[in-house]
Amino acid sequence: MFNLSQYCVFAGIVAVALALTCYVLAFASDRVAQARTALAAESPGGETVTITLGDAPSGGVIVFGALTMWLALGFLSAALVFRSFATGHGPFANMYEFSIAFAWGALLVNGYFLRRYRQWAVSVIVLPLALALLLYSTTVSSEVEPLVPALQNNLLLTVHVATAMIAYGAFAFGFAAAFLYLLQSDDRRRLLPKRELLDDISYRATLVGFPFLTLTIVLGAIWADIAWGKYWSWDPKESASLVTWIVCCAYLHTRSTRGWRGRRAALMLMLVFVATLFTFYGNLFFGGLHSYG
Amino acid sequence: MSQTVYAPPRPALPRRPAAGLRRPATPPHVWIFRRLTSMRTALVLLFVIGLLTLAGTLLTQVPDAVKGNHAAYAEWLNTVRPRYGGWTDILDKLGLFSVFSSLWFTGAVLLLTASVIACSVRRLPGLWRTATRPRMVMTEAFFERAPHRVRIASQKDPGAALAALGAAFRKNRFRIATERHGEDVHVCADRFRWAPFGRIAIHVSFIVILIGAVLTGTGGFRDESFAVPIGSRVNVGHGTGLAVEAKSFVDSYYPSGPPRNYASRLVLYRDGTRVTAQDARVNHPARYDGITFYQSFFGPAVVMRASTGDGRVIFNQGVPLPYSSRDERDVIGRFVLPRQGLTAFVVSPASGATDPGIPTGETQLEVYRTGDNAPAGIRVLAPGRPATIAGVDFTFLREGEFTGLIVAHDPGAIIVWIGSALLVLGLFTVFFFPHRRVRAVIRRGAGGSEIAVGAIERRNAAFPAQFEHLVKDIRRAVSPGAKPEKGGTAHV
Repeated sequence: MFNLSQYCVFAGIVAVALALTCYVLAFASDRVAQARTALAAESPGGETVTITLGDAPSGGVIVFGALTMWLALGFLSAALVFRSFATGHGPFANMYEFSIAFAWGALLVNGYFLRRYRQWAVSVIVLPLALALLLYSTTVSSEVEPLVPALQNNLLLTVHVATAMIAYGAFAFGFAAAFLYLLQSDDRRRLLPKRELLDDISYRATLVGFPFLTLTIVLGAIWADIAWGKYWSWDPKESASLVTWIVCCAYLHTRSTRGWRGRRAALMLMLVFVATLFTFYGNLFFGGLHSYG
Repeated sequence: MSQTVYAPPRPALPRRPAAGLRRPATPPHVWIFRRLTSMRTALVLLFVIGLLTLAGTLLTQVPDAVKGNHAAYAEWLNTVRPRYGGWTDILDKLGLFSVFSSLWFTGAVLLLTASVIACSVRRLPGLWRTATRPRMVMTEAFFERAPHRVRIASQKDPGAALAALGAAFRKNRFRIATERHGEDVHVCADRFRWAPFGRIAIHVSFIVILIGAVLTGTGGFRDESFAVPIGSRVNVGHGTGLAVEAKSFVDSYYPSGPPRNYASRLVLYRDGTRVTAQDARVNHPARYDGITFYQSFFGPAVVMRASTGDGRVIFNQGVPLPYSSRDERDVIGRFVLPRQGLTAFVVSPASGATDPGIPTGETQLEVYRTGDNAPAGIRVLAPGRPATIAGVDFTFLREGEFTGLIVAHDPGAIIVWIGSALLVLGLFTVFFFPHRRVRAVIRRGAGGSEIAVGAIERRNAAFPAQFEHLVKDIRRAVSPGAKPEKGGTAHV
C-alpha cells in the first residue's frame, strides 16, 4: 500500500505537469494566433499570411489539459487513500502528507469550479501551485511515523485536516482567479475570462473556503479540548488560522457592504492566500502545540 | 441581503447642507449607535484585532505559569532579551508579550462585540420584512429593466397560467406568494427565504462564543499540575468533594522510540465513597459530574511515612516529585503536615543523573517549620530506615511513580460549542443556500395571458444558468408545445 501510494503521487506529479503543459501550450498557440491575426491585418492585401484552423488555440489541447487535471486529482485521491491504509489513519499527520493533501485540496476546488463555470484558465495558476506543493513533498521524509499520543484521534485527525485542506485549496483557487484578474487589466486577453467573471469566481471560491476554514477552527477547538484540555490556547497555528479568518472576514465585509470589488478585492484575496500559507507553514517556524512533521 | 424591489437610481443628495441651513445636532447616543453600526468601525476593529493576533503569533508569548509573578516574569523577560534586544522593554510596556490579555486586544474585542450587537439590532427588522412581507406589486419598469428578465406569451387564461407558473416555481423549489392588482396577478417566488437570518446567527454566535470564553476565564477551575502518586489518593478541592486515586500508570513506546500511549487508571471518590473508575488517556479524558481529568504528565514519586513519637502514623502516601532543581540533577517534591506545622521537601536524583550528596536509591528530606527559612533538619534517608526531625519520625518506604493530570471544570465550554454550532450552521446556510427571489406578473393578453419574469441577482456568474433553467420550466408549463423563442431571456 505504501509503495502504491508513492506511485500514485508520482503519477499525480506527472499528470499535473502534463495538464499544466497543455494549458501553457494553449496560451502559447493563442498568442501565435493573435500575432498572425495582427500580421494579416497589417500585410497589404492580406494574401501572404493565411490563418488556418490549427492556428487558433486548440480546443483539443484544453480538453486534454482538463482530462489530465482530473486524472491528477484521481491519482492524488488514490495516493491519499492508499496512504491511509498503509498508516492506519487519515493521511494528515506530517508535512509530506499535508503537502499532498493541500495539492489535492487545490485540485479538488479547481475541478469543482472547472465543472461549474467551465473556466480552465484559472488552472494555469492553480496547477503550478499544486505542482510546487507536490515537488516540495518529495523533499521531505515520506516515512510512515507512528502517531504520538496527542494525534491518536482518527476521526478528528481526518476531519479537522481534510476541512483545512479544502479551505486552503479554495483560498489557493481564489488567489489564482484574483491573480488573473490583476493580469486581465483591460479585458483584452482573449484566453482569460472576463474580469467580472474572475472577480465573481474568486469571490465564490472564498465563499467555499471561509465556512470550511471556520469548520476547521471549530473542529480544532473540539480536538484541543479533548487532547490538550483547553479549547483555545493561543497556539501559534491557532492564532495564524485566526488571522486568516479575520482577513477573510474583512474581505467578505468590505465586498458586501463597502462595495470593494475588482482590484481591491483581488488584492485582499492575495492577502488571504499569504495568510493561508503563513498558517500552513507557520508551525515550521514557531513550534508550539502543532509542531508535528 | 437580496433586494426586493427595483428602484431606479436616485439623484444623489448633497453631502453637506446648503449654505444657510443648519444641520440639527446629533444626540450622543445616536452618534454612538451610528458609529457602532458603521462598517468602517467594524473593519478598523477587525484590522486592529487581526494585527494584534499576528503580533501574538510572531512574538513569543509569556507562559501562563509566569504571569502574575513579578520575579518569574522578570526572569522570563531576560530569557527573551537576546532575541528582541532593545525592543524587549518597549514590547513589554506595550503588553505585546501577553497580547491576548492586553488592554488593546480586550478593548478591541469588546468594541467589536458592541458593534456586532448594534449591527444585528439594526438589520433584524429589515431582514424580517424581506422574508415575511416583501413588496408584492412591482412596477412595469422592474420587468423592463431587471438584470434577468423574460416575457412569455401563453394560451392559458391568467388563472390557469398562474397555476402552471406556480407548479414550475415549486418544481424549482421556490415558494410563491401572489397578490392581485387590478387584473394583474403579481407573484413573488422565494427560495431559501430564511437563509439571510444565517447572517444574524453568525453575528450572534460571535457574542455567544465570547460569553463562553468569559465564563471559561472566570468560572470553574483548572488545575494543570494535579499530581497523583500511584496508589495514593489526592483531594481535587475547589468544593467538589472529589478525591482521585491513581491505581496505575502505563507509558508505552513504539519500538523506534516515540511515545505510543500514556494512561492512568483512576478511581474517583466523593466524600469518601467510590463513585466511578475510569481510564484517562491522551485524547480520552476521564469525565465525572462536569469535571474532566486529562492525562498530562508523569514522573517519579517516593512513598513516605511520618509518625509521631508515640507511633501514631500521621502521613503514609506517595509524594510526587514534579519539580526539577536548577541544574536538573535532582527532582523535588513536597508534602505538608499541617498539625505539626511542618513542610517537608523530598529531593531525589533525577532519572539517569547522579548527585554526589544523595546515593542512588536513597532520598534527601528537608523539613521546615512554618515561617522558618532555615531547615529544622536535613537527612538523607535509605529505604525503611526512619529519621527523626522536629519530633516526627520520617521513613522513606520506596520509590514510585506519579501520574500528572489536568483537572478542569469549564462551564464556558458548552456555551462555546453552542456558539460554534451556530456559527458553522449560519455560514453554511448563508453561503451554500443563498436566498433567491424571482418575481413575475401575469396579465391578460391576446389569446391568453402574458407573463413577465424578472430577478435582480447581480454579479453572480452561476445565477444566469439557474434563471435560464427556471425559465425553461416556466415556458414548458405555461405554453406547452410552443418552441422556445431565441433570445427570450435577457441578462444584463
